[in-house]
Amino acid sequence: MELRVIPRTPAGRTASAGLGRPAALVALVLGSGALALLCQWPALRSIPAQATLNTLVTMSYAATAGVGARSPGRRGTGPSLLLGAGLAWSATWAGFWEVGPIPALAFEVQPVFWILLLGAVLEYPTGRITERTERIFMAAVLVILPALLTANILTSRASWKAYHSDVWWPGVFPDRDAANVITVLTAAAALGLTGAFIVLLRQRLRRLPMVDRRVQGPTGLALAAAGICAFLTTVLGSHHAARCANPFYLAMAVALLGMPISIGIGELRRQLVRAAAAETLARLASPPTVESVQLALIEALGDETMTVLYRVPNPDSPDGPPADGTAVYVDGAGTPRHPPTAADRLLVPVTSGTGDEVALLVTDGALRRHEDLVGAALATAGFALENARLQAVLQYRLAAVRDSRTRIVETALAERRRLEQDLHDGAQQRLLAVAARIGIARIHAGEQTTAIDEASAELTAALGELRTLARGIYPAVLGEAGLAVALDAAMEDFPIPVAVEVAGDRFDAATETAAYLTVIDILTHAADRAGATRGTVRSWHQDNGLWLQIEHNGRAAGDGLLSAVDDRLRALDGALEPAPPRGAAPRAAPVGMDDPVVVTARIPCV
Amino acid sequence: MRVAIAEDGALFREGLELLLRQAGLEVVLSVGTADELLARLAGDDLPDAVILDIRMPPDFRDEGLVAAEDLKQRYPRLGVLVLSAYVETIYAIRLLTPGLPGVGYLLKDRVGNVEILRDALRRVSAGEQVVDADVVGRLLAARRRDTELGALTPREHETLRHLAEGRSNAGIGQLMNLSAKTVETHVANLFAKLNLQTSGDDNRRVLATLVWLRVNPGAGPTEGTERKIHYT
Repeated sequence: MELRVIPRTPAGRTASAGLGRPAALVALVLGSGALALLCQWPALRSIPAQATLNTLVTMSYAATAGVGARSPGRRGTGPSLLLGAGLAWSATWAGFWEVGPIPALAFEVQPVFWILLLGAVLEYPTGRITERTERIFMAAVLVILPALLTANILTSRASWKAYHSDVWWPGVFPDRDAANVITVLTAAAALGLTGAFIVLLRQRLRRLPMVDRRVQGPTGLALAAAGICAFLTTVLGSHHAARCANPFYLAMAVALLGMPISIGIGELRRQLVRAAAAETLARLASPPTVESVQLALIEALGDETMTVLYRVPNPDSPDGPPADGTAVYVDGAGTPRHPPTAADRLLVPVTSGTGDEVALLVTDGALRRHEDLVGAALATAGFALENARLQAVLQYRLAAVRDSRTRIVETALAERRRLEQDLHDGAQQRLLAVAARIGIARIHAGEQTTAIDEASAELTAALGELRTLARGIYPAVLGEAGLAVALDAAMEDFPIPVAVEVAGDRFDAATETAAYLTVIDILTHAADRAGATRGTVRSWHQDNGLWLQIEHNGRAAGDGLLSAVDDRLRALDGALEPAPPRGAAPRAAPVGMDDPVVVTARIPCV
Repeated sequence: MRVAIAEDGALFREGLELLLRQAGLEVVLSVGTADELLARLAGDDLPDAVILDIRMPPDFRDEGLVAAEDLKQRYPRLGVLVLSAYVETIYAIRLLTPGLPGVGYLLKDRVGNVEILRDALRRVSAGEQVVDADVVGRLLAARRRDTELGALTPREHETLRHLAEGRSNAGIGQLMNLSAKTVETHVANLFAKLNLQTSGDDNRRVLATLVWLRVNPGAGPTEGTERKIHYT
């Protein structure tokens, strides 16, 4: 049977779509590289290593953006922001042209670069910045960085930045002291924002599902490293226009390169996770159990909150099948469960080749973005899920049958009590009224009482038989005074002497009736058919159970009687047990019974 | 003789009333519940005896036995006869346990012979105890193979039966055509054979005899230990 997986969320593109059309991607990367080279053509001669690294940063960001825009479940402006950041990074090095306003413009591109980069990171993976703290952080970046760099440019001269004095520079209030103060403020801002970013990153990693963490962790770390480099360059007073290579800028470029590399590694790891998931599921024990399927899926999807609900075909609950045709789901233990309705849970129905729903996978809503992974896992787990469903549904049906058997036996026991009452109130009362009439007739009969005596004797016999019948169905004294009294009373005229050691505790009517009938059935058989000449009955309360031990010196009962007694006990979750429980009080062998037949029974009670 | 009745089954109650009236007894009160009987009995104009059913409203459990205890506490001289549909020794034992005179436990079947009923009413109103012959007979039948009972002479055996039915020595003597003195000797002998203590109190000896009869002595390790009565 083939198994299809139909995600309920927006139809997933296949994983291969993530690679996109290779030609467009190559064009994008090469175009970005050309732009980067154009921006820093003069720098390529003075600081070739830095310029090469910068160009690589731009090209790798373009490549990452190009791949990311096509990856499944990816939404939002993230890829565009990343492409922009990559281009902006090279643009900040355009100051080496030293023509007209280019150095000033290149200087002003710096905040743009950071804003685009941070935006690209923070909007991942939802396409929006949802957290309040992250919005505040982004707003602070938007205000602080442009303000500080604009203040810097307004209070400085081009020559202070090592540019030719003939370039256009909007330094309208040149002031050394003010510039120094602003530099200190910029360094402080770089440090503060980097620190804040690291805190946000920690929070964010905790929130994200494992698969996203693997990507976002290294990316964020690379970005934090770049931020620290930015702080150091500011503190140590270096700037772009220095004609020599600056190790901090080199380090910063390397850190920035780390980001697309870590994303690439993350993607690679994701593919490996998928492969591992498939392998985990394929390795499932044969035949797979409900537990092993659940554990394998948790491992494969990296989601510990994941559960599988199995669809019950043709449910017949005690309340009848749902009238509106809604599906009945059970968990692995066969307990009916409603699928969650919370928005943060993802429900993925799994259907068989014939279109029947087999199960419903309930996972962390974050896995919406990794439907390819979920799909791959489910496709591999298909047969295992079918098998697990059979087991879960079997448990569900067993529970339903067990409940039904309990109801039947409880009803039968209650019916015995009702029947006894009916005999007492109905037939017996009528016969007794007849007896009173016979008594009246006798008064008026004078000496001719023969016919009356005969009628009276017949009536007495009928009353006696009716009484024996009613008592056999249910002894009234059991309901009124409990098991101990009823057993004592039953043993008064029992065919064989029976010692009764039963405590006077009361239990619910079904328990008392079942216990009473167990003793009477076993001992009646022993006395009437198994040649017993004496017996004992003992009961005690242990481990939330009423225990009965019945002994006699006859032959052991056949399976027919024992299984009938056992069935009645099992309907009440009790059973005939092979031996008393551990810790039961030891007891001397009953008098006159060297090797007695022992029947032990347990009925649960509180 | 004046009698009051509490019996919830209307059919049987009417038959019983009619029977008693035809037999020349005066039925002063006939009601369907024990509570009504207690409410309507006047302390200064009591009947000689009351007849109580066991299972009556409101709960159809043991209302008659509860009412019997209640009546004996309020009116110690009132004869109380419980007329029961059950051959349960335990009910008779419960009725006799307080050791009060003038209580009796008779099967409803006895309405077929008004003389037995009249005799029981007369005895409870005279302060004797009454236990139905079938209750005693059932116990004796179950114990027929018992060695201790086997050691009794036929006369002693018959004496034991009458004794368990609640009869006084004089009553037993009358039934067996023996002098009270002879009966006394039989009682002493059979008590010795059964290892029963004689207290001389007629009210206690009926209960003691019933308890002895209903416990199977040969039934195992309980032999020699105290014979317990489960009843609360």
